[in-house]
Amino acid sequence: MAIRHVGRARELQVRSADGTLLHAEVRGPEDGPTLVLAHCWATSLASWGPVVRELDPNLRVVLYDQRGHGRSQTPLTRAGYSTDKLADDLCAVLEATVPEGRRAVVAGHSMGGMTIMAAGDRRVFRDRAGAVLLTNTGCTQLPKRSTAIPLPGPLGALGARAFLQAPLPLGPANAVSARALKFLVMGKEADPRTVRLCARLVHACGGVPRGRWGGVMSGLELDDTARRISAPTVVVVGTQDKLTPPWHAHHIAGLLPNCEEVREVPGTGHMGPLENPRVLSDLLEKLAVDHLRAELAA
Amino acid sequence: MTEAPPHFRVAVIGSGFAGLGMAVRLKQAGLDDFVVLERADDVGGTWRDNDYPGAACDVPSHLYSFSFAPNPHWSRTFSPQSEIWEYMKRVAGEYGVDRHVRYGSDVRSARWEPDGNRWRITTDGGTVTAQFLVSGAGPLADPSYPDIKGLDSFEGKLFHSAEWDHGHDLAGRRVAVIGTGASAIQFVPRIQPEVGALTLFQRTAPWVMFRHDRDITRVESWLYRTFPVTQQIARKSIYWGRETYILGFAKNPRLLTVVERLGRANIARSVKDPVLRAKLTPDFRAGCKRILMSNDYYPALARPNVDVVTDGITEIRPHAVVTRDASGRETEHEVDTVILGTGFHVTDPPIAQRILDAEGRSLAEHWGSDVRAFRGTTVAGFPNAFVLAGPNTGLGHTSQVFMIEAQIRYTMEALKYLCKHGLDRLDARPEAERAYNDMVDESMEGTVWVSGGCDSWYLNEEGRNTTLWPTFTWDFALRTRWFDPHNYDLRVDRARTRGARRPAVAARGPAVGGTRRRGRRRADERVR
Ligand SMILES: Cc1cc2nc3c(=O)[nH]c(=O)nc-3n(C[C@H](O)[C@H](O)[C@H](O)COP(=O)(O)OP(=O)(O)OC[C@H]3O[C@@H](n4cnc5c(N)ncnc54)[C@H](O)[C@@H]3O)c2cc1C
Repeated sequence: MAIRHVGRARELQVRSADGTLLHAEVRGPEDGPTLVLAHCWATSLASWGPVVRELDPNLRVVLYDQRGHGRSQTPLTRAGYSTDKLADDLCAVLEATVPEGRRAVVAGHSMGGMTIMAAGDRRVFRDRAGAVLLTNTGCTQLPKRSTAIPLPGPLGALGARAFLQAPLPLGPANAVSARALKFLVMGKEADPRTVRLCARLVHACGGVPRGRWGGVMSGLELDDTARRISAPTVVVVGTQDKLTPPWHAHHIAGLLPNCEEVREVPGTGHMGPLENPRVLSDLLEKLAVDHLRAELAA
Repeated sequence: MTEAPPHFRVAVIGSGFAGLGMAVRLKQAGLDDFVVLERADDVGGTWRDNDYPGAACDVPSHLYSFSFAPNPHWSRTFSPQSEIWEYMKRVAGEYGVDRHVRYGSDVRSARWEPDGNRWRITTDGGTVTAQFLVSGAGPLADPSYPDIKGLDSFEGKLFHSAEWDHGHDLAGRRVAVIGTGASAIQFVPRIQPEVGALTLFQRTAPWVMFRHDRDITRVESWLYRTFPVTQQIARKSIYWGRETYILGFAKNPRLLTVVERLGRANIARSVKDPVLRAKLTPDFRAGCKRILMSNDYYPALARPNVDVVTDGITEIRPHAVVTRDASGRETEHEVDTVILGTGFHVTDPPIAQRILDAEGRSLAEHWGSDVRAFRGTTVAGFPNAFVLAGPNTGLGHTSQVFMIEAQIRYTMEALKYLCKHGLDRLDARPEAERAYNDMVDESMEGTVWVSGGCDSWYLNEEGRNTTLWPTFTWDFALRTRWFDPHNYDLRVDRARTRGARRPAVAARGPAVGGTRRRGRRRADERVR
């Protein structure tokens, strides 16, 4: 999917701490204030597309594929999947794209948000993150709080766990799976084009890495590192988000020492960047203006 | 006065497939208290060092890789060195093994100290002690330089294939290649188009088979990615296909005449000159020496800028290699560069000179020329030590990694057993070692390696095959599947059981905890 933010992307390969090669793309003016965006589970950097298209062309935008997604390498072993690895990857991308001494707005959607919360105590992250945006994400109790599987009590949690971890290939995208997907991850109002886009992204993701990442997320426990995020942060959630319901946003806000705002977006589900790109682009621009002053002056 | 050196539960020597595999299994078992001592500055062993042009594995990559790290992205059936090395580095990275590696730590000596119940290991990078020593120093890690008069006096460029000098431009030069083993047949076709003249010095012609090498298609790779079970099927099929070679090598060498016919056809296909054909046709039973695989070796030798010399080398002079023919006439071959494709120290691994028992006697002295171990892994008189890719675990036909993983499993089972039963020392019993080696020798009888009429690097001075496993590899995997305490002298860990009433049971170690136990435990196991 093409992302039309000013001109062509400059592609680069970033080597993470453990040797895994990550695909990253940089758009916009080389010296502009920088946003680094981490995407969600089972899609690719393209899921930020609708947001990037809305952004001020003077911003420099860095996108990267999380390992096992898009054009980044897939781990060879189980040990290659963990929240530590997500944090390693983000730090590697920050080091490769945000010059020393500069700061960036770092945003994460769902698993991308977990990535940021896992990196909360990393020096590279703390040095380079001038502000943070977390959307549709959580840092603990994912299966338990999920309302995606409409079964009572623990059955729902079990169902959510199975949904997360099943390494099944999805086959070609079709109307039935798109419907199911819409039910699970999007708000009732989501328009059909957005649903199709989402389905395309999800179906392109490999079943094995999807299942493995799902496994990591079912046991997620990131309160401790989330607390260490000192940069000013905005937390966003859709009121109809079934995978990470608003409970998570408030829980995260309670952990953060410097939470500026919790924004509930009415009528939207889990796929914030697809469903409400305008809200996110506005918030990102505001964070850049408020907190990247030095970079704006430069 | 001096501080005690850092102490570890386990010290692993080397970071090739053996050292890395061991480290991963330790981590998986939750044992973090270990160090990997590596003399070089990166992991990878064989696949770090052997980066000569054309270097690749000759067992399909789907099999020649770790069982716990299938790679759907191998580019070819027989992947090139760079890909295998990259693969190993990624596995090491994912498990965080590199954090345990001390680079630049050439192990000078490892000596057993019975009082401290530990190994004292001195390296170029300092000294450490460890309760257990695992050697993964490699069966083919130390290049062997031939004993040729005047080797040092050569004034052109001279290097070994395992230490390839990439800064040296071969274009247009007169190059001598000494040796026609597995390495030479890979790099000769690559350098032949580049060099001015190539003289290949051959002592024994190897059997070279057609290699069914090809790109792995995108469909296959997609299938392996999407349905991992398909890659398992591919791996197992290659494994069992390769196991059938044993029927020829070990069970009925006459079957190998088929292989010989294929080998001769491979020569006939590319070499028209009858004299050259005769030189290249082996005069021993196929399989007696490692069977090699290449599609471009023979065509390269048939090119006009290549000369195959079968006369013995008598000496090397500052600008030439000198040979003498059967009638005693000497010929001087003037060359600019000499590349040694002369293989490795196999029956005399240097690490054996550096592992010392309590009396300071080296493993090499202990062995003499007769290298032997119990289950290829432990040696009586060398307590708490494990040798990966040890005596009689080598292979000529399938993946060495399979054997190494079997040994690692055995080592892990032993460590877990000790830990579980409050023991702190094991030492293989000499009679168990003897019985085991009698079994090996018996299996070896009649195999092509001892009856095929060749003198190979598999054999020691007395003609005993001390390197190869003589039968099916699943047989070895079964023999190393479970730890066998009755074949060991075991010692109760007094420190841990002090004050406890039932010593062996009361001690529950923290070290190898957190593991899922899968080994079968028999009721009649005795603890001594
Ligand atoms: C060119 C080549 C091709 C091969 N192809 C195949 C193949 O296709 N299939 C197959 O099954 N086998 C093949 N082999 C055999 C190969 O050696 C084994 O498969 C396997 O790689 C052995 O792994 P290892 O870890 O035991 O040893 P190595 O990979 O040799 O690793 C040993 C490590 O120990 C280190 N070390 C050694 N001594 C010391 C010391 N004193 N102190 C500190 N560190 C030390 C070395 O630096 C090295 O890193 C090939 C070998 C070569 C040389």
